[in-house]
Amino acid sequence: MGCTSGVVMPKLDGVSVEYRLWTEDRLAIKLAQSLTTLGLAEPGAWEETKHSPTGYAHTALTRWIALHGSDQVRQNFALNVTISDSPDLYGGETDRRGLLYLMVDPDSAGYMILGPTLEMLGDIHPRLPATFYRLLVGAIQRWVRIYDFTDALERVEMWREWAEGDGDQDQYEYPDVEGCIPPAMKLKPLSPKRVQRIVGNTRNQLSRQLLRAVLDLDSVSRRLRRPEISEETREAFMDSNPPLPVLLVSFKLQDAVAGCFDEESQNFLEASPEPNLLLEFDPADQQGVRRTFSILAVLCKTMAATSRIAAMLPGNGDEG
Amino acid sequence: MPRPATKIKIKREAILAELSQMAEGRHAGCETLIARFLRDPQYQQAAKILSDAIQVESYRRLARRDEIPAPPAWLLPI
Repeated sequence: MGCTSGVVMPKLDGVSVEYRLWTEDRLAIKLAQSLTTLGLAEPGAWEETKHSPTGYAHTALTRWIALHGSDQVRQNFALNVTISDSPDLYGGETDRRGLLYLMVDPDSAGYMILGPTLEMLGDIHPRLPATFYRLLVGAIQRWVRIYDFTDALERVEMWREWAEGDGDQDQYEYPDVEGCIPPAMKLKPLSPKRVQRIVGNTRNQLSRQLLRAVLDLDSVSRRLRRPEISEETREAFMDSNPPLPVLLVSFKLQDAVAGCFDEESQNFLEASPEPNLLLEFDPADQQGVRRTFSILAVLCKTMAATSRIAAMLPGNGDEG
Repeated sequence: MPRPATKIKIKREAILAELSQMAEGRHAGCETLIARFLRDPQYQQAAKILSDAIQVESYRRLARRDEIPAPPAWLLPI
């Protein structure tokens, strides 16, 4: 038996193994309080997230998105929802007004080919292709950026201006965007009421389903309005690029619109892009938090309805 | 036994109470390591033992580094 050294090891049982300083989480605490009071956070998540206000708010946000169709949205779109204390995720300073910012942005753009659908609808009524297009694109554009033939036309126009500056315009070749737009797109769109009447008289089941779905999408996307951003927040994006497109809409697979998108996409991240959706809110203001979550719900439902349409479009699965 | 709706309400109130404590810096999780160390003699003793052990070990390493190896073909000291 050896001699004892006289030193007794202290017991560390019951000593906390993790310490946390909450100072940087003040806004998260306020948000967690509002979400709890409003019933937007599941009380069971408090234990699951080990009493972390940030984790608790994150779980509430994820649950909210799932309740409003995230599974359907994911089938066609790769969108991220972020809540941050700075409106500019690319190196912005923390806001001094104590506001939080909910932002929605894509990882990549979804792709829709509308040519075959427009052709099918044109057989029912000559003005139906333009109507369907306007309803679809208009509804989505209320919430996120779409890249379509109008962006491609602007791009070609810009290239022409650059070439004029060079002085030798003939050495350049431009994508024929104008030529790839179906002629029916130039006709005046019908009113939604007229579309509803056509739906009732159409025998073609797919056309009927598509028209109903696009009318539904239009009404879902109008449920709330995108709120104005304060001047101070707008200033953070003065030198930013436009938002990243969430969806590319072309008429045929790899047509001139898709070609312009491929070319332009190389410059999308030259400067930090504006978020597609930016909602600023005071986490302590319960009505503001409710409004923010309600707006997010409308965006999710709009994108879920778009996903349902994408699944029905003839020829849309050919993008390979 | 409380009904499920009452249970949820009680749980929500408990969460709100805990969040209020966090906001005011009174929550147990807000306690800093130094505050706990100053109050707890067992912590202080553990720190002393570890600090002494580290010092002894570093002294030994230093001492070993100062030893000059014998030149080749020399007899090792007895």
